[in-house]
Amino acid sequence: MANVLNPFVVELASRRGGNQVLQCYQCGTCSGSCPVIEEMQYGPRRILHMIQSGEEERVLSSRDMWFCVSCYSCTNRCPREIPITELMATLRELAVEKGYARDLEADFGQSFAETYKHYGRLFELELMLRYYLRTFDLKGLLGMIPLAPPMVLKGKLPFIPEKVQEPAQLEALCPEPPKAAVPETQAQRKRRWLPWLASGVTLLLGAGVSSALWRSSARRAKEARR
Amino acid sequence: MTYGYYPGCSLLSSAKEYDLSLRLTFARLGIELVELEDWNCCGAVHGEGQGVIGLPARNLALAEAQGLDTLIAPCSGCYHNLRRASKAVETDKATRQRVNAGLAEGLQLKGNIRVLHPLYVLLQEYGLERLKAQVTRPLTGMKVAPYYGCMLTRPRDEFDSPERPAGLDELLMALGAEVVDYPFKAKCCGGAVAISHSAVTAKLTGKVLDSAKEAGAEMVTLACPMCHTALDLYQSKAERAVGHDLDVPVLYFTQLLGLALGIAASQLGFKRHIVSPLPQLARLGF
Repeated sequence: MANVLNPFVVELASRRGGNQVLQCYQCGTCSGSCPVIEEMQYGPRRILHMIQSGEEERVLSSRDMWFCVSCYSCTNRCPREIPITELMATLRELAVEKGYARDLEADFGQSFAETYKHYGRLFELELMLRYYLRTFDLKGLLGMIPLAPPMVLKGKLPFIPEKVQEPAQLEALCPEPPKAAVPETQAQRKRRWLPWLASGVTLLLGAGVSSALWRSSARRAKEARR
Repeated sequence: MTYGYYPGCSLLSSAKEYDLSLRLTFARLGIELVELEDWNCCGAVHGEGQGVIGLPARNLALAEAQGLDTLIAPCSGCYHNLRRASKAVETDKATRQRVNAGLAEGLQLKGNIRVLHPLYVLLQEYGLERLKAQVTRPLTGMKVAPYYGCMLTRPRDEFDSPERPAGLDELLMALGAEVVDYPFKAKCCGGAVAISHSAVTAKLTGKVLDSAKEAGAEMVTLACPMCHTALDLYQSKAERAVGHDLDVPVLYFTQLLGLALGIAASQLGFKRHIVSPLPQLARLGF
């Protein structure tokens, strides 16, 4: 058996969800169950076939795993019990590690991980700042802007982060994966000042909005007293 | 009945009403929740590498150190991650050793913490008959579509069916509501890619809400803050995706439970919803 294994299959075997890829017999239940199959280039069935054939570059540069919504429909129905959802997550990781990742979702995942490592808990405002500063995705930002005021007014977007006592403790639990051969464009995009700027803008924005809110509520209280 | 409680990040921000109503209703039922101290983010679907098990495992270790044998996780994502970590640590010695090596001093994980979702605590540990006896204000005439999402029941699970789940249906029936059945009740809302591919989320959410509305639902109930963000906050986007108005309020199951237990609507956080449920509730006399 060993002589038919390609290097990609061998590499995946030691990663999350990757040790059963050879079990796939191409029934297509996964692609038939996938709610985002329309967004995908190949779909999980063909991805598995491409893995079996060792087409590492085509798999890792595809957009499919970035559209996976982690719904576990495929995993749940797979007659060969391949954990396809976990495999998709591993493909995302590998695409980042090997410098193939170009999708916005890759940037979102990175911003998310940076934020929870910073505080030990999620801080949505900083996550958004990190993400939009990293991607400059103006189209996405414009779509998000109308949602922000209701979120702020309904108290769904706190301005002060929740923290664990020692966020540094988390570093040992999720060590940075090795990043081999990251192309230059990606290396340039890593900006050390980003977290500082994000925190600064967060603070200013938080102070501004909360003082505005406080003033308006104080004014309303004053008027009510009159 | 005493359980450890792991709120998760969303319940402190976008889903505060879930936290609020869960604490209120469980207190009313006499179920004590002890919040886990110093809990950390479970990594959601963006955990990477060893953190996928490591991050939730720290919470399990904290629970062991704090003398808790069960953790209730109200967010389906946290619930899924904590359970996956608990299982991995329990069954795989190498994982257990690696996690323990990464944990801070004084924390040690043996791996016998039960992770439960509050819905199945009510159904299987508290019991529906006992719950029914506590209902003082049945939700008669309320047409509710239960929405399960993904990680509450998938992958395969000992609590409910991943294809045709019934837990929320049973609870709603016990509360006296009229349960609306519809084909999309266990389909994905797309919440995982809500920021990066928001058009996909809008499309999937639109299908779910449209299907529920078509089946005659006045409101949707669910058990996950991520789904709530998609169905409630993104509803305006979903309306654009399906091409017509939806206007379906989306409530947490604990909020409906609270109403049925006779807790005042003003205490259950209905003002925090983007699509206000207040007109519908007023019509039904709440």
